Amino acid sequence: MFQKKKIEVVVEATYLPRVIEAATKAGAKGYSVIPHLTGNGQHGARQGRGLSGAFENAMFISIVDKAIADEVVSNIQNAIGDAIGILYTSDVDVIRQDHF
Amino acid sequence: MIDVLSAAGSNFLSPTILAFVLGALAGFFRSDLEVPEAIAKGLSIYLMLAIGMKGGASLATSGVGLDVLPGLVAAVGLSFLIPFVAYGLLKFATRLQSVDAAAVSAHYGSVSIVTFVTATQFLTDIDVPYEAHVIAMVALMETPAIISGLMLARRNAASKVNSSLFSPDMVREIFFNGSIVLLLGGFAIGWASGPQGMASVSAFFVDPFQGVLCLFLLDMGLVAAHRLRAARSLTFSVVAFGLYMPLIGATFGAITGLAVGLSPGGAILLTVLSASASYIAVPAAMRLALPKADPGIYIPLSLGVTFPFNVLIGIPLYATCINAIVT
Repeated sequence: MFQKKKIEVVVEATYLPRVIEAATKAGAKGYSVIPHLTGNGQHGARQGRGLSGAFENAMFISIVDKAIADEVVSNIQNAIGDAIGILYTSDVDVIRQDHF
Repeated sequence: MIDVLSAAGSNFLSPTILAFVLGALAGFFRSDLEVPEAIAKGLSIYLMLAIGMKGGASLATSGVGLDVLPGLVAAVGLSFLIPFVAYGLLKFATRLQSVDAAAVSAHYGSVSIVTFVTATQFLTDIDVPYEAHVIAMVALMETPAIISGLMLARRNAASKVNSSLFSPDMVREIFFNGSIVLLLGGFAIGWASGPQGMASVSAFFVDPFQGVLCLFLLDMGLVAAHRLRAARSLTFSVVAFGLYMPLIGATFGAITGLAVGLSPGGAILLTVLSASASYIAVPAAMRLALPKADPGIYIPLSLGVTFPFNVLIGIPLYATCINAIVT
């Protein structure tokens, strides 16, 4: 098993393209997205409706090498700015070293 | 023109409006009723494409000339100027911060396509025709208000305008959001295929239209009630703005519509557009450009206050007033 960093971002859906661009520019080799996330928090209920992403959240998940984790996080932070979002990281073990 | 007053009375008893009321009541009483997200999205895609195609086919029949230009220019002008009026009123009558006032103003200059669709159904019910190019006016009125809102926000350094107006994601949100693509795309399809093409799809896009609108408004009632119940940032003066601003926008729309020579039906639709507040394009653009503005103010105000007001009271009221002016 190989130790890597998992970066998870819950962000308002309109900002998702910026988060993806920021992470891939900093070297993230891949990512997963869970769209149409609903929930409740500091900004009240977030539940998607209609053709706009303004009311809903999405989740961005990427597992990266520890060497670039700080840069990926800082890039995403800059991309999110004052938008609604939560970013957290955790240590994970993966079985395929070369995928991340 | 037929008796709009009696039509206004029966508007409350139309299946579409009653479906909206049912949704709102279910939302207020915390019923577990919900329209699944994917179905709600499918319904809105259907409605926008159908209304676009109907307009395009009707334009193919009536033809297009330079006489449509004044209406189109007026639509752009209204969308651009109404936010300045709204901003002045908000700063005078409420305690909203400048960035919130700018964001709210942009919503009121832009338009609600669902309110528009409901108004076209109202006119169809009372047999009042309207110009086909009003559909193009809807698309044109989405964007100028966003520019005005950002201009108003830029006057205040604390607003922290986040995005240049022409950054790639702003351009995508403003010009290529789903509603604009469907409305203009449907319009182009209807225009290119003409009345014959429309006849071939009318069993799907025309006949069931009112039934689909019923289902969609049921969902909108639920959404409006949920937004209103969850609204924590709305004060009395802001809610009052959500009720009197449509009347002010409507006044501008009615005067302009009649001044540029629209038919009574066309003028009613321009009035409804000017009275309505966006909840698709503008919230997304404001989240990108003005993240400091509180969506807990502009989304419930537009969806929970102004949208129900226009659907329940505004549309028949504006139609009655314009009917009184032209007769």
